Amino acid sequence: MDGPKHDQELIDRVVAGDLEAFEALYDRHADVVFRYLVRVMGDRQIAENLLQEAFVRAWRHAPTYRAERGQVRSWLFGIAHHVALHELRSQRRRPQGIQLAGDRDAQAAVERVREPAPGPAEAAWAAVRRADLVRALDQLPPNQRQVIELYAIGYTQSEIATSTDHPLGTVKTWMRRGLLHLRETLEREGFDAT
Amino acid sequence: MNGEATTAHEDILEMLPDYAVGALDEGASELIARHLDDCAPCRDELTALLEMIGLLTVTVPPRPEVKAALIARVAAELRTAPAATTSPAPDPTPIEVAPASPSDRVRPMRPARLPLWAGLAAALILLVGLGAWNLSLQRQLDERPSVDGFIGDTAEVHPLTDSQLSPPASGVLIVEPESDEALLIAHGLPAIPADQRLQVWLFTATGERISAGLLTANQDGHVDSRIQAPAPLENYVAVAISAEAAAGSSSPTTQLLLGGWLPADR
Repeated sequence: MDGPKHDQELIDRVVAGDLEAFEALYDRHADVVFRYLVRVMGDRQIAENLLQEAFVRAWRHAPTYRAERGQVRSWLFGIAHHVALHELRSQRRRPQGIQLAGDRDAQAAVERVREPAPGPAEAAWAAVRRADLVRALDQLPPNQRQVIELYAIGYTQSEIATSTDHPLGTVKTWMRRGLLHLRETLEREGFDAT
Repeated sequence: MNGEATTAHEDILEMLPDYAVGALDEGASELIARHLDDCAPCRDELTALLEMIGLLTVTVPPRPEVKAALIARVAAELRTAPAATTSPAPDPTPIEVAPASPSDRVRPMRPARLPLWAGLAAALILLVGLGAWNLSLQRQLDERPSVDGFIGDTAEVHPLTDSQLSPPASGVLIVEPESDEALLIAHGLPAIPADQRLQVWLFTATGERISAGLLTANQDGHVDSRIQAPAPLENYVAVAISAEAAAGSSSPTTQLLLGGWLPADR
């Protein structure tokens, strides 16, 4: 069964109150949603609390999910986005970034792999993802790659324009084109988002 | 769509990257939110962007305590309401998960060069320490001729720990660094679908993942098998196991179930 079909089955079971299906849904999507929350909040502890909040909302509002509006993962991201914006508003704080995804330096990548982590398996998997991402980023024109890397570590588009000395409109164009190319590349190469 | 609306639409598309990470002021955010209500392409663009941000951000997964707290909370709700509901609910209050402490982290353990008897003893001590070993398995380990025949004077014992998908699995990889063979012993692995097998992966320092063969766990989730690497084990920095199609995969396609470091400072 492919991912979206499996997700739909899980959602149907969650609506019926199936806790095991809810756990499975969490296992399938929590990591990537969490990474998004870490990027936005710049704080793992806050991101963990928001992840919990987002999934509680998913549990409560599972009956409102409509497949015609998008895949389950997109729906979960929408909830996480809403939760994150609400938190940012209430904290009246700016988002902060974290570490680079597109680290090209092999030695630094190895050192990062060696960082303490919840488990070597997860860290090793992260290393695999990182290598895949670097390969995909390598296929972008340098300008597009640069703005995406800066964006990934927490810069806004205005801040990227200022720091790279390019017009804001140009940065926005590079950003859109770069994200589109990157998405296409990752889809073409079967990048695993989990 | 008229010209003015098109301009607004294009402007909003360009603002989405900042909207996605909450970097816009409240007025601009509300403007975009209203536009999104009526614009399916922009909604699609936003959801794709949110996923892309998740992909681009590199961080370790949330701690298992987060899931445990979530499930406890939802189970409590389930006891009072037998099914998920759309009825208004109070704003969810997260169960506070204690901040990570150094003891929460699994730190790579340095291997030691061990004689035969010490290698066996260390393997058992490590596994007892991981809390997932049992007496019957110790007996199996003691009695296995493959172990006695394998471990030499320079054997290294590397602990393998579980991932979030496989608690409380644990194991060890016993290696002779200059050899391309190793002994993998694991216990408590989760059941996998009948059309899948366990596949062993070796990771190089540059992130390449090399298959080291397929394994089958017994009904208790126990694996005790020699693995064959394409090159001496000293060329790899980590080992892991994932569930793959029965014929094997060219690279891991599912999350890893068990993994450990093969420190290079030997």
